[in-house]
Amino acid sequence: MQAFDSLREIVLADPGAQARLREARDWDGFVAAATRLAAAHGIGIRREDLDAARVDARRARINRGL
Amino acid sequence: MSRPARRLAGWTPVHVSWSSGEPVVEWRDLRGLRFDDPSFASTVDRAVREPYRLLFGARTPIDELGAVAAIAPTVPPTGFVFHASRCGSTLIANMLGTLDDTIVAAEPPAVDGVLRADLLGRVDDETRRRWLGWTVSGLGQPRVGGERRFFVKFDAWSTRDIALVRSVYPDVPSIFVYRHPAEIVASHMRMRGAHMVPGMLPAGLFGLDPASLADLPAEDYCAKVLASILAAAGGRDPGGCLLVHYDQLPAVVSDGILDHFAVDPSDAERARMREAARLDAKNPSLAFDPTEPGRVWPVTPRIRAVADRWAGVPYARLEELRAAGAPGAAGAAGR
Repeated sequence: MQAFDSLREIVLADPGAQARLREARDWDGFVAAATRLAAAHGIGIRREDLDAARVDARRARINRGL
Repeated sequence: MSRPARRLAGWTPVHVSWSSGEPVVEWRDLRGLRFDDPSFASTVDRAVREPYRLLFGARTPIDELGAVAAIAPTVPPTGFVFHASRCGSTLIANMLGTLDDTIVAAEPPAVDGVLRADLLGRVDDETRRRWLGWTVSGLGQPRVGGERRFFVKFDAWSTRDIALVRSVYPDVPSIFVYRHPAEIVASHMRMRGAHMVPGMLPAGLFGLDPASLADLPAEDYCAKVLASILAAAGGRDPGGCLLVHYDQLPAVVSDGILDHFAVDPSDAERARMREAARLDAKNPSLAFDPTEPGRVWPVTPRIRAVADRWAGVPYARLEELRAAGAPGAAGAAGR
């Protein structure tokens, strides 16, 4: 999760990055956009990292009753 | 201005929960989305089907809500919808949602979270007022551009706080929607809302003693909860509400509610509202069919007796106020 956490910090601080990622409506498009963004900031993130983040996000919503 | 506030301006507070005795706000980036689902929760569910909106939520202390409210543009509330549940309030929200440039936040959990902070976190009313203002401000942020109207439909149980809401927004018109208690109880007997299930919400929310509920039949519990909601709406200071009975729907939306909210819709908007009234409020992809099996809930003699016993008096009070021309009557203490 370390790579995703690093990416998360970058995204939360950058409205432009948010807008680019918001445009990706399906998972494959999102993975491509997120890995490009991460690489531009020197972060090596793999599809598996994003898959795991997706599982965690869904689980967190369920656990918090959202 | 705090760094998180700069980051979160434009984001939406979707939930307020408690962690280690402190309120925590959950945020999502809902920019670009219209709030036009039958409930706010449905809008969030729709949003998090998109990868970015699912993965990049944020959680902050509640003070960040105030920091965002201080810097982010927001649409001031146009009107508030309170209701007794199962009485047509979703239809009203859906019709309002067809107006141009309009935000409708229907039962947003963050508002429920701050209003119930007195029970969840022993928070005083002054703090609840402050948090409510921050939360409503966060929900009213423009997301698609051009928004100029903003309605909040509260949860049914938030009616207990109608006076508190009114004290924060003395100039924002509100309505209270209700119907005969027996019909509401009958509907909940078919499929109960959260507030009608003992233990789902604190009994104290409705002025009930938990110890007295152990052997209480389901119909009686529902009728007692409903009685507390109706009593709050018809209380000494009902908050200047326009009282709206289910039987007046949908015509009362264009004949009374819009005037009350000072909204003068265009012909095109009126046409869209009429179309919305034709559809099933909870599932707008279907036409509303009042004869559909399961649509008409049997009001058994027992349900009628229980509803009259516990909720008959506050219902009669509301009907008296409505007949006397609320908000002229109900609003005497308010607007």
